[in-house]
Amino acid sequence: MHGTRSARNHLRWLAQAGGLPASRVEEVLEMAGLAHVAGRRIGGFSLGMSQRLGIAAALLGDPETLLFDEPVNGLDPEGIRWIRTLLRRLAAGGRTVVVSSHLMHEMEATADHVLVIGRGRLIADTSMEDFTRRSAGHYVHVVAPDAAALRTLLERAGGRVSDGADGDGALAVDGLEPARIGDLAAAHGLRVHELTPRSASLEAAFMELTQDNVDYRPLEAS
Amino acid sequence: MTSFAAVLRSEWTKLISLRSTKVALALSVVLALALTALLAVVVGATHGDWTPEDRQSREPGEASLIGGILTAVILTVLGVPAATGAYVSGTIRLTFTATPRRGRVLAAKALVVAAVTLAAGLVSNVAMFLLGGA
Repeated sequence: MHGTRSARNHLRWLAQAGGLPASRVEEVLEMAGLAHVAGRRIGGFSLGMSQRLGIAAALLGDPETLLFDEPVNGLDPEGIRWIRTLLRRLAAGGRTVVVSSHLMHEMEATADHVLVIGRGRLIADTSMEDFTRRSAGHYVHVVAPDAAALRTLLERAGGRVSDGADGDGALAVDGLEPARIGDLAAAHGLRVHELTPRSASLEAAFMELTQDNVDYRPLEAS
Repeated sequence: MTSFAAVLRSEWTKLISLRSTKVALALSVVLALALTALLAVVVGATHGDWTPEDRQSREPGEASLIGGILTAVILTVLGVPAATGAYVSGTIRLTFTATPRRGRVLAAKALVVAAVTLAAGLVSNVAMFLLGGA
């Protein structure tokens, strides 16, 4: 992008080259939240504003498939929220939105489907829900007044039970679905106060999956 | 996919939306006129002292168009960033993404620069002639 050209003129030449109507320029400026700075030189734009301009340019032709490479980089919190809703809205409108990012929390909040690539090979291609559930970090959080009795019962049914991370007597159950745990407890007259499936964060699931696929691993601090 | 007219329009927008273009266009006319004005004053003031041979060989009107040298130089300077600026800023990648047919882009760039410089040259020369004659 040329520094002395205004945002509007930048989008205008792109629209003209693509044979798009000039009205699209104002529309995407509006969509990207740049309408009030459309006449300013791009050279004076912050990283976040340039990012918005790039996205505005990508939206000009209203494409069916959109590719974003680290779209959140350089955006302020308001901008991050903006792009999250924009991506969701584009996807809801039937478009395919592909985002590459290393920001796990961001992707967890935005994406439906995950592709993980390590050393040039595709190592996961699954829904976000499936991806985090299948990792070892997935368990059922159980709170019961008679935890000891429930623990024995669940272990006998094939569950792996450990103490919850909070140290408040809650159980972390792996290997049994919440419904099965509830049914077992009911069949034996044990009360259950809380029964919550907990998923590992995308980050934890990602780390678990890619631990053998990293090129640069720092030495563990001793 | 897109017509040549579309590429031409796009290149036109790109050229005239640059600061360097506006500055060069303004300078090409203003500086040329300034030089012509200066020469006109000098010629006008000394013409009475010219020898008959001088008068024979030099047409006073000629001096009017000397400023044209400046116009030519500055318009050359205009043409350079029109093409190279896109490479420096990376705009050229976007340009070729929008219009993958490079020949079309280059032809459109050349045409647009030629049209703008021709117009500026015309304005500058006519203005110099009128100024020098006055």
